[in-house]
Amino acid sequence: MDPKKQILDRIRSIRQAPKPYPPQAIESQEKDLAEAFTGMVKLSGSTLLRFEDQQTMIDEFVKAGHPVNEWVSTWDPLIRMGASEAGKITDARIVISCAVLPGKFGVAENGAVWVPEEAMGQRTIPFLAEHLILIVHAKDLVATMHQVYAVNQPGSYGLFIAGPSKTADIEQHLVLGAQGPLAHTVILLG
Amino acid sequence: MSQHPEAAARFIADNERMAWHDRSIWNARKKRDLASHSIEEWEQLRSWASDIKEHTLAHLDHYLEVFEKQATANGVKVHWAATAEEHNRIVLGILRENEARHMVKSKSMLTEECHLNPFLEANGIEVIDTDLGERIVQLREEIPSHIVTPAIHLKKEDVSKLFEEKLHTEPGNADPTYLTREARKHLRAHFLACDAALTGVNFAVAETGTVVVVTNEGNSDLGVHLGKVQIHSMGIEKLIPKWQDLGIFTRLLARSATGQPISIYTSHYTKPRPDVPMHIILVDNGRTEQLSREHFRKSLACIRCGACMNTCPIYRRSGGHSYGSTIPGPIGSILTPGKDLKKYSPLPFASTLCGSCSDVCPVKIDIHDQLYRWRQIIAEEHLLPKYKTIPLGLAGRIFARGKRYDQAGRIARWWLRRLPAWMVNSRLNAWSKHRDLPNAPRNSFKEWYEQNRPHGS
Repeated sequence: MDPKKQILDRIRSIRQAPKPYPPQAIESQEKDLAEAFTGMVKLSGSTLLRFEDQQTMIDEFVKAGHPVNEWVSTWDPLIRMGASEAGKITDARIVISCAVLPGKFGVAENGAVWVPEEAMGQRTIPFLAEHLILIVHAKDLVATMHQVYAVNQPGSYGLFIAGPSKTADIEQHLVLGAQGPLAHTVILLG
Repeated sequence: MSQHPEAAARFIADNERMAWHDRSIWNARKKRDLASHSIEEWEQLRSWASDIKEHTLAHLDHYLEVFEKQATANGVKVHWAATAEEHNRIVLGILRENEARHMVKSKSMLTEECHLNPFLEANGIEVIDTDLGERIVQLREEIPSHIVTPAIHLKKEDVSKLFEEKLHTEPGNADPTYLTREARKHLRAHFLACDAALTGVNFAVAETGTVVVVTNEGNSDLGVHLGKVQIHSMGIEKLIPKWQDLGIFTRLLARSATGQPISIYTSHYTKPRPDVPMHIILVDNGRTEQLSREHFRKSLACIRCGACMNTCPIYRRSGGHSYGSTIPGPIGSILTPGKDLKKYSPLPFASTLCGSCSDVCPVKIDIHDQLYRWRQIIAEEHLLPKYKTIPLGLAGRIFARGKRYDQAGRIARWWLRRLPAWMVNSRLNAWSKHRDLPNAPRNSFKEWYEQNRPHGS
């Protein structure tokens, strides 16, 4: 018998009272989003840097002796400064010391940043980089996961990233740097 | 038959290790408390999550069809499997079709349930579990002892020994950071060499056809994005209706599981990469049967956070392996009897019925009530062992009549005061294995109350 039909018939043969979808009224929590976001990012073992705007960040951070030509990015200002285009990295064996990607939204309640596929160049980049830097604009911060799911779209692929990869599978000892990046930095602009 | 009491007795024989296991898991419960208490609307979230899951289960046929339609429109191939065997054959078929022989797998309790690894290995496929804890238990040829932290029963020295033997790490080096880095190198090589990836699914969104997978290590994504074919295996109960529902469930899951405000990676797979086939397998394997049991239906709302295990005094002191089922702990003890009541009849008794599991459950499953219901069914089906039926039958006859109960109480108190301690706390009295009975009072509470109650009441 066709397993699909078998499963659906089986479900339909079960008498269940209809149960309505619950109405949800989620209040937006107005508080200092940047402060809450900063606290949560740091709590997850990440670094948070804050700059007034893009230019200040370039002047004070990027130009402060960082090897931009060893970086990988999808962000035009960095590519113009010598970073490799993330979409053009074809060999997964190449060590990516640092990838810098623009995040679309930041979530204040947990420090997570929504990164859609378009921001990655390709899907492997956020995981193969040893150090991942995500850039978020303060105006793109939201309070909770409810608010972010109201504005982000599934697209083809996207994810929340909330810190460096980590594990506590050996005797509950927290180790930063499991399978993905060893270090995680969030740059907050504005 | 799963012999929980015997397996638990073996576990607690090493008192020090049991105490360590207990403390270590209680730690996770404490972190869960801190995380959940930081959210003012926590109880509201639990109610919504519970209602959404109940709604989905009540209209599961509808949401399965919506999901299939959406996922298909996204370019995903959706498969249906009524049984574990069907699921395993579908996976093998996909691998053969894509000429894949090296598969990396991120954590999936469903594939444990289906015994996928031995099936694929027997068919010439190499399967590498990539979650660190799961890789550890795979190398030890064990099953996970916890659904979130599979190797929680092991000490770092055990892992060190295992890695020394299998991964040739430095002898005697049990530093968790060192061991994790060595595992990272070992697994990275497998990621780069894999030609297929399979993951479990935390949530499947009917509205968008998206599957959501949550990890802390990043192993799910490394496999999925490096493989030449991606497969997601999910139980049919993983569905939720809408994209916005993820807001509720992602707030509850990690806080309940590990006390984190969110897991490091919450990945949403909706459409495949160009030229890389994406498959989703919808698996029943006993779920519709559980759905048909009115009193146990709600157990299918489980989001596999493991909070009920972390809080359970029995789980913490008997270890996950003592349950003899894929999913251990309180939730396992209400799900597994539905698969084979005779085999798993001891599991609903592996509980004090204290109700803490129900209190911490993020989707409000009435776990302890369901444990109690299974006990009643097991008694009705005459599946109880004699050491339970004989004393229970006797107790039933005594409790049924007030006078008989008073009399039995008097006799018991009289003897308990006179018998020497070695007889009262003898081996026959299981209750006194790890403690002594308190001294018996002269009077029962009933007699005391008769003498002391206020006049006129």
